[in-house]
Amino acid sequence: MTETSGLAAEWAMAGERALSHNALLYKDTEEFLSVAVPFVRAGLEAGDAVAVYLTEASLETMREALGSDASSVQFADSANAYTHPVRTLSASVAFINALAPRRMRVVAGEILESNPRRSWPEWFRFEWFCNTAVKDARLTTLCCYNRSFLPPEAVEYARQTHPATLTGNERTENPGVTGTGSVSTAFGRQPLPSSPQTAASMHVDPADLHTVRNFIADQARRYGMAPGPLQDLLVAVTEVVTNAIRHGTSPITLRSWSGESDLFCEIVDSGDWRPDDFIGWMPPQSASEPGFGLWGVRMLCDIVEVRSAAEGTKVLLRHPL
Amino acid sequence: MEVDQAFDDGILRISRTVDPPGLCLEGELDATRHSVLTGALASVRDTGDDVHLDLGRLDFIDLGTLNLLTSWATRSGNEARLVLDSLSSEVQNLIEMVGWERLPGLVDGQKGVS
Repeated sequence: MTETSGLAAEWAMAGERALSHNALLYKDTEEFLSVAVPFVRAGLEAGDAVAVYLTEASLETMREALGSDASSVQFADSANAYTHPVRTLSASVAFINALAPRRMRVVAGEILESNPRRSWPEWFRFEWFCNTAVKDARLTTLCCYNRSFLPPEAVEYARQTHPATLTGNERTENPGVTGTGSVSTAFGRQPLPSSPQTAASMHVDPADLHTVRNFIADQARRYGMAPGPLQDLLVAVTEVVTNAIRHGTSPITLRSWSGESDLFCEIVDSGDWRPDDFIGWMPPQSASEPGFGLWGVRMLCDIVEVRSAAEGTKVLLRHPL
Repeated sequence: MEVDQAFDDGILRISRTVDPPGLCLEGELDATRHSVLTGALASVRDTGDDVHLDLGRLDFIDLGTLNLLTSWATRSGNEARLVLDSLSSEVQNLIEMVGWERLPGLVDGQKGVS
C-alpha cells in the first residue's frame, strides 16, 4: 500500500524500469482525475512523450483539468486508437522505437466502452500479452478501467493482467503477473462459436488456392462486402489455408457464414501444428521472418482466433460486412 | 522492351523482360506457384543492376510472395534492388499495411529510381 506521496515517487521512479504497466480501477471521474492528472504531470516533468486515449467527452475533462499543461499532451479518441489491437500494437512499437531513448507515457481508458465489437477476454488477452511483448519498451502506462461500469469479471481480468493495480491512491503490486506461461492456463480462452449447419463449406485441394479465393469472394459478395475489405480477407484466408497445408494434415475444411455484421471464415485441419494462441501478435522486423504471414493475417482481418487441440487446429476469421 | 515467355499455366504468367531486366508477373501469385517464381528469379541475369518486376497485371499477391521477394532481394552478395513497377492499388495497399520498411531490398517503381 502506497500513500499519495509514495505514488508521486513511484511515478518519478517509473522511468528506471523498462515497462511500467499499471491498471487504474477507478469508480468515478473524480477518482480517475486524482490519479491520472498527477501521472501526466509527472511524465511531462520527466520529459516523457505523453499521450492520452479516452472518449471525446473525457478528453475534454482532462484538458480542463490539465490547464496549460494540456498543450504538451497528445490527445486521441480511444474509439479510433484501439479499434484494432494488433494494428495498435504495431503502431505503438514503431512509435516507441522512433521516440527512443525518450520514454512514452500513456493514459488509456474507456476502451471497452468505445469498442463494443471487442470482447473483454480478447482485450485482456492483449493486456496480458503486452507484459512480455513490450517488456523492454521505455513505456509507462495507466490503463484505466471503470469499476462502477464494468462487471466484476472484467475488473478481475484487469487485475490479473497488470503487474500493478491502483485503486484511488493505493498502488498494489501483483508479482504473479508476468505474462509468461501458456495462455491456455490463463483466463479468457473462450470456446469458439461453432459453424452453423447452414454454413457454406468446401474441402481444400492443396494445389488450388484460386478456388478457395473464389469461394470466399462469392460468399463475401453475397453479403455485400466492399472490394477493399474483400481483398484484405482474400489475402488473409489464402495465408491461413497455406499454413494449414504446410503444417496441418488433410482434410482441410473451409467454412463460411454470415453473422449480424460480419463474415466468418473457419479453417480446420487435423494436424499437429499447435501454434501458440498469440502467434502473429508481435510485429516482425521484416517479411523474411517466419512469423510474418500470421502477423499479416491479424493486421488484415478484424478478429482472428486460433485454437489448437489434439485433433487439429482451427482458425476463425471475422471480418466486417 | 523484349519479352520472353517463361511460364503460363492459365493462373499465372511469367515473362522475362530485358530492358529493363527482370520479370513481368500476370494473374495470381500464391504458395502453389512460389517455386515457379523462385525459378524465374534465378534465371534473371545478375548484372548488379536493379531488377524490375512489372506487376501491372498481377491480380493477386499473397504474403508469402512478399516473404519470398524480400529473401531473394537480400540474398547474400546482392546489392541490387528489386523495383516493383505499376503496382495496382490493391497491392499498393497491402504493401503499405505491411510497411515498406519490412521489405528491405524492395522499392516502389513509382517513387522513381535514383
